[in-house]
Amino acid sequence: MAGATWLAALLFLPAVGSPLLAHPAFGRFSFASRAVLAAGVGAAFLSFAMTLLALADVRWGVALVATVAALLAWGSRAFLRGEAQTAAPEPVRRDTAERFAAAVASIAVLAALAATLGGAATSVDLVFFWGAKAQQFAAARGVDTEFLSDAAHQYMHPYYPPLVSNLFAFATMAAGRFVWTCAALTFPLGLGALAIGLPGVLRGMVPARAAAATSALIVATLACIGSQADVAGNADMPLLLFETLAMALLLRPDSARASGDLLAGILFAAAASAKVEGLPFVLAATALALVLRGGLPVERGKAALRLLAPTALSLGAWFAFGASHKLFYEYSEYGRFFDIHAEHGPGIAAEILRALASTGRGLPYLIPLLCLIGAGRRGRMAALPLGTAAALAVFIVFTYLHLTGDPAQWISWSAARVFAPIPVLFTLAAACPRLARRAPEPGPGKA
Amino acid sequence: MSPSAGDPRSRSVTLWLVAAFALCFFPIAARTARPLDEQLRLPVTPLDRTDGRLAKQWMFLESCRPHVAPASSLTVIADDPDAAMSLYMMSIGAFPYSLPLPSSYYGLLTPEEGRKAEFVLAYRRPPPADWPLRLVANVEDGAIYARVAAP
Repeated sequence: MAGATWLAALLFLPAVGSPLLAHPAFGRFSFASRAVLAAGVGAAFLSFAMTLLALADVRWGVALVATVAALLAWGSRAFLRGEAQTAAPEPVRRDTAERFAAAVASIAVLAALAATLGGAATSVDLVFFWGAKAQQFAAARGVDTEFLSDAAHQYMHPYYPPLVSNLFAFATMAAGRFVWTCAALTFPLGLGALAIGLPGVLRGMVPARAAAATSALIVATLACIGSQADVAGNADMPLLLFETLAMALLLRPDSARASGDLLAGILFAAAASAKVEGLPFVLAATALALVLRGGLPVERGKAALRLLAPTALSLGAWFAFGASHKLFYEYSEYGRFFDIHAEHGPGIAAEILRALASTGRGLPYLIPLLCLIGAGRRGRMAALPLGTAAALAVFIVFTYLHLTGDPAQWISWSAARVFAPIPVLFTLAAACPRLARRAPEPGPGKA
Repeated sequence: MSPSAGDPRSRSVTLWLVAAFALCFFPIAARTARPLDEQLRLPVTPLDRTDGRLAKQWMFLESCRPHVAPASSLTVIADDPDAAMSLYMMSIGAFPYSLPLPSSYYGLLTPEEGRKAEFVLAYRRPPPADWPLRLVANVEDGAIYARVAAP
């Protein structure tokens, strides 16, 4: 019973995000995509509400947290004032390719589910810190500063962005106890959400069958990496869910409007609040999107605000909490920022290749790369996922270069997971249409 | 949206679907590579098929749980520093209503911390002879001891 309640608390996330997604400006998405996007928005606002309440020293309660989060989602509609209603997507009859794509995505999710239920995909990080932190936060009805400041708990990474601990704590408060299996099930659950929601988001960029195929390839890639690199119960699947949806939104021809930017911005905030490497992803993707779109500086400024403000607010609240309790003031590093050990470079490259090659024989990384090469020259918007992939790879290698000792062991257990967004970005780049996607501006007298 | 020139062609779509189907094989193959009876056995710990060493340690903590009074302090000692560290980390999650204290941390011995604990969970090794303890129970891979109050 506790397990069902624990999972039901997470399945409640679409309801938390629905006050925003119910806005008529989002009518252009299918119901399934809207529900999944609402879940992502709900996760971002729920975690933000919990951080704000902790900052204000208000004890968490399930109803209180959910209400504050839903109110924040409702309040964010103010940024969509003047946004026109958009037409619902035309109902389409699925052809054979789309049905096959749906079947492949379902098989991938079921394979991930079987691996998780069999205890074959559980992340060690779940039993080392995610679970412990969530239990402790739930018991303390807030971010437990006494627990985090204990010198013996430094390995819990007190500075680490709070979204996953917060969501797990929310579910734990609802269920009355932490349920380890259910926490691990967030891997197939997140993958299932991606399989349901992504095709509808991609349909704004490419035809339905290409959207279905792209989505199936991404889901199968992540099922393979996740099962082999043991991500069940850690923050990797939530991060991949938010990043993939946000990037797919930015690639749509209708992204450059307030509703598209705000939605992508909130998903960016969720990504940056899920894992440290979410932040470089957000910064790179935002910068590239703004450059590729062009437009007047004022328009770009407004877009930058909508894309980055949710992340700034979300992480700002977290660091304000850390600073006000003298817990942390920045992300902890394995050395000083520019204190890098270039002598480890060749070893790091070899170790990364070894780690990727040992995950599904390297195929979940190689196949999307081959698809990208096979797709030929894509439109300029492909530079958005490709540039983001390059920036993320540089950030990861830069991080590995900080370790004083040999980083081989660290790479062996982390590289397969932290490089997982890159094949997703390759697939999205391969799916980008070849022609310029920007609709022609109406000429004089044609408006 | 109508298809436009340059969108992934149907040949690409077919190839992508074949590639996606092929990738599904890996999580399934990892399962079917093991004997059928092992596949059908339900996991006892979250780490059964991820890390056998940690799964054994988790089982040890689980079997100690009924013998440790709630809201008490405990420490885990082990036969090697890596096991001691991972057992300490897992004990924080496995005993949410107790206070785990480290007897070693990253290989650095901290017996002054462990000494304060009301319960000592000894994994594959006996406790230090100079700690005033009484045996509470023997479990697989170790035993549980309770601190004896000084006379």
